Amino acid sequence: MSRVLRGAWSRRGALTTLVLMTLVVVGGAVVVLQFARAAGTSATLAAPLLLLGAVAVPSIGAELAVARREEIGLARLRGIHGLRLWRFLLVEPLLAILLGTVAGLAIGAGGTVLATGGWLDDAAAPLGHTALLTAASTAGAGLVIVALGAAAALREPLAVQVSTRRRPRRATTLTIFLSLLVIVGAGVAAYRSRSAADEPDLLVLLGPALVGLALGQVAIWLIRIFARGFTPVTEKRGLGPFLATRRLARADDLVTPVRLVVAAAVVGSLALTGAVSVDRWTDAQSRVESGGPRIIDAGDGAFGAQQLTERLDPDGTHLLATALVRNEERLGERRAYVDATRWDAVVGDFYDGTAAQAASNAVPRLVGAAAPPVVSATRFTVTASTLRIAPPQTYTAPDGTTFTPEPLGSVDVQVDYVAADNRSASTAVTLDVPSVGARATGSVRVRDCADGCAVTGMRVGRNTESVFENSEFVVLVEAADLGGLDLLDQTWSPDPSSLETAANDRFTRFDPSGTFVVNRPDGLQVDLLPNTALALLLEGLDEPVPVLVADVEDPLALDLSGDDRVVQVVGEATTLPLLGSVGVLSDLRTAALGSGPTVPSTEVRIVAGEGTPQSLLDQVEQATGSTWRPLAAVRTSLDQANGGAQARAYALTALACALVALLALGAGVARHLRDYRRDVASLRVLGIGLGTARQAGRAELLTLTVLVAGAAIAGGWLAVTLLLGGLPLLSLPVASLPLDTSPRAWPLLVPAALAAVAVVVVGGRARAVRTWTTRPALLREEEGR
Amino acid sequence: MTPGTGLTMSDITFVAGRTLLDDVSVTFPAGKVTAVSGPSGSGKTTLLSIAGGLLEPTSGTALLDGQDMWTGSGDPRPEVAFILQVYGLVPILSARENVSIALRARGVRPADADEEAEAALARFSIADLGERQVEELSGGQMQRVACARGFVVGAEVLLADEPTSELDEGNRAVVLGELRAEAARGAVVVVATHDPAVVDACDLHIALDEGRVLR
Repeated sequence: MSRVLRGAWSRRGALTTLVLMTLVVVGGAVVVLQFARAAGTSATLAAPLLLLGAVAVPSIGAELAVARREEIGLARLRGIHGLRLWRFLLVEPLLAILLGTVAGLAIGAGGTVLATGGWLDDAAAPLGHTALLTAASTAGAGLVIVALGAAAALREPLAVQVSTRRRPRRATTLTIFLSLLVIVGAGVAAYRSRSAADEPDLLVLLGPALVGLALGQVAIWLIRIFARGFTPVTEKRGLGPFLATRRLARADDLVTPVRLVVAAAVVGSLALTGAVSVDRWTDAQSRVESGGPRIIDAGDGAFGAQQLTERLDPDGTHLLATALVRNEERLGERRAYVDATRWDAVVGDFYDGTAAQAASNAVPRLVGAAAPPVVSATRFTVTASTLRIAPPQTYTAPDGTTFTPEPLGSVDVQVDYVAADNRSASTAVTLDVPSVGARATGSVRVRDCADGCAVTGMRVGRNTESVFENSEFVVLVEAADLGGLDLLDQTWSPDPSSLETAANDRFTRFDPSGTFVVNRPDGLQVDLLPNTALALLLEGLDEPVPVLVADVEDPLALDLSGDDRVVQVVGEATTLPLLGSVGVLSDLRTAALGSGPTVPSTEVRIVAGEGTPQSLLDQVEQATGSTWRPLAAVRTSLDQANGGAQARAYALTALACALVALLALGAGVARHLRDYRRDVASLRVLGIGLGTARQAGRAELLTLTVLVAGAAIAGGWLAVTLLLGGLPLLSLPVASLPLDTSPRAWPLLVPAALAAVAVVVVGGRARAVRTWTTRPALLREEEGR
Repeated sequence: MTPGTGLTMSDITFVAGRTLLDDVSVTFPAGKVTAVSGPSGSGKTTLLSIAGGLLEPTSGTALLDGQDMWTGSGDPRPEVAFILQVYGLVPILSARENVSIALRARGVRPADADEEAEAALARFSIADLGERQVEELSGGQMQRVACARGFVVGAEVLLADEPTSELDEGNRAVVLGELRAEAARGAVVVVATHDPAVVDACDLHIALDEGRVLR
């Protein structure tokens, strides 16, 4: 073991890189997994990190094998072959990977605490089986990849392995094949992302990394080709540019890691664009859904909510009632109601700049011609008189006796209403008016209307006490007072369904074509129906209901209880307040006219506008027993409900990818630093000074930086355009706004800029030539080793 | 080239952990080929490095026509050309470019430098390897490229460290011929070697052992 440790210490550079790489990949994967588990989203977006790790590790394996080339050769000379040789080769990387895995788990646990605490406001769960399994699998895969990277060294001829001369690593057929495979894979991922409707498969999830690696590889090929082609031009520009093009054409230290840097930048662009898209969507969708700056749940009945706003805010400048029937399974009946008379005053410019602005501006057009009569009442008083009644009939019994029963001249006058607590109720007065000219007045207590109720209809019927009676009986309801509201101020019409019921009674010869209701100046004349009460409808129920429509063919105007009304489409929009991209919006008062109780599935809310006094807000809270939710809270709950944390999980993946790329870049530079300094020393022996070497370094860095930035921007744009729409960043609710995943400037530019800075900083350190570290005598010292 | 008096090293001591050179005084005359021999670790390379201005002696002076060889930066003076034992070839350049760049560093136009480089490689029978990368060459081929580079610049001082270690007899003869030609041109030519055949072919011989001059 001590020999192993001594050997590991002598190769600490490459092994440290392996430890760090494992730490970053395992740590990053664990954080993403744990965060996704806590947020209830998918952890599959960590796939690009695992791919980049898989690409970065083989070079470390090959470097370790090269560093131990002589040892391997001597081991083979001693007869160590097969598994023993593999064990000999892999024990050091295994120790490094194990160390990196353990450290990665610790870092992952710590990162999870930070991420869940910061973004989810939640405590982190202990590491689950999945995280541990992922860490173990990553470690195992890393060891296999290191072994594959080292395999080429094992296959070298023994003579080469024991030779003191170093042989360069060449691009093998396998390497070229894998490069082409990455490009093809990127193309297939893009195709599948656009064509598949279901959950994205692994290739699509790997797509961003594949696109980045492909663009990075293309950038490397372009660098090599450009450098070779540009060499004759540089010959006229001095030795600095010439050396720069030669290094770009042939050196590995900075050029090869470009692939990973570009890939990490592309993943970063995708993550940033996704985060921006989700953020914008959440912002816009929360506005669409909330209806205003502050909302509160207001119980079961839309009418009650509307009454509350009338009572607390009679001027109509601060509070507004809304009702939403989501109906996500029958989109044709998806509908919402708003108090259109208060819309402009309360909502104001809340929807300006959003997709629902046009519809919001059109809401005042929803106000209908009629509204339900609303009253707070404790008594119902009716006065009625008889206009016509069939005269008493005389009947002769078989024994010759005659009898003349009194005519059934008792009338029931009933009023139907919906109370503020969304319960339907009715109350009736019975009056005895048995002869023409007879007049009576009656009064009864009304329950459930003290806090306000909406009159939905009346019924006038003959009180026959279950005796069959179909003789003529015409009454004049001279007064019908409900808590001070004169119901006879409304215009009433007979409900056709009552007439139909009477006509269908085969025991009567009833002709429904007569005139049964007359609205007279002195009262309401009603020709009572045989054996059934005549239901009376409020005027305006057959008036069309103005609606705004979004993406509904054959829209229905349904009242609060779900019954049909006549529809009049006054406008169409792509997005409606409260409803989003599908639904029908109408005025709450118009929908309440003649309507029964609000259907139970309705979400009833009150909206408070900007500047609503706190005292008013407190009163509403007290009345409803709920708590106000500002727009930010709506936004947060929307984000949580639809998996908005997914974008953050992807951002964590992108951060880990960036660290992998930075490590690969740094490791590549460190690996070749000695060689680079030796090259500069060789040039100085020839009389080429540090100034020229620095000039070459700057030219090389400038070219690489421009190419990396260009490839990162191009790759980011391609990845966003082709892949982002297919990634599971958000679970869009039904009829929501679409998620706009089109490329934006700064999410593409920032990762490209960071990639460029990484190349400049790391490459700058690599190309920082100092007099002492590149002295020509270095070559002499090397020979002494 | 007008021959100078030569390169004079007086009382050179060099200590780097241990004493590599101890009070060495030698003169390398212009127009002659001087061999410096000795076993491995005797100080041959150190002596050449100080002579060429790559190292500053701990004490003593190395002067060429009265001018100090040490420039202060570790860079050799422009009058000096090296053929290093480790060759010192630049891997990112081809064989021809490794030769031509030495000329371009001295102000020769690229086209002319390429032409002279081709001719120099041809003298060592490796003109066909001009486009090969350094890593594709064998040890002997690399040594010949290093030699071609050292000879092509026509320096006033040529310091060659084990220039024939990997060459066969034929190529060794070519190198010795080139060394002779350089000396005939009036340059100071110094060859560090432990090959007796090379020593015999030189005009002068200095033997070192453990950092001291034996003769």
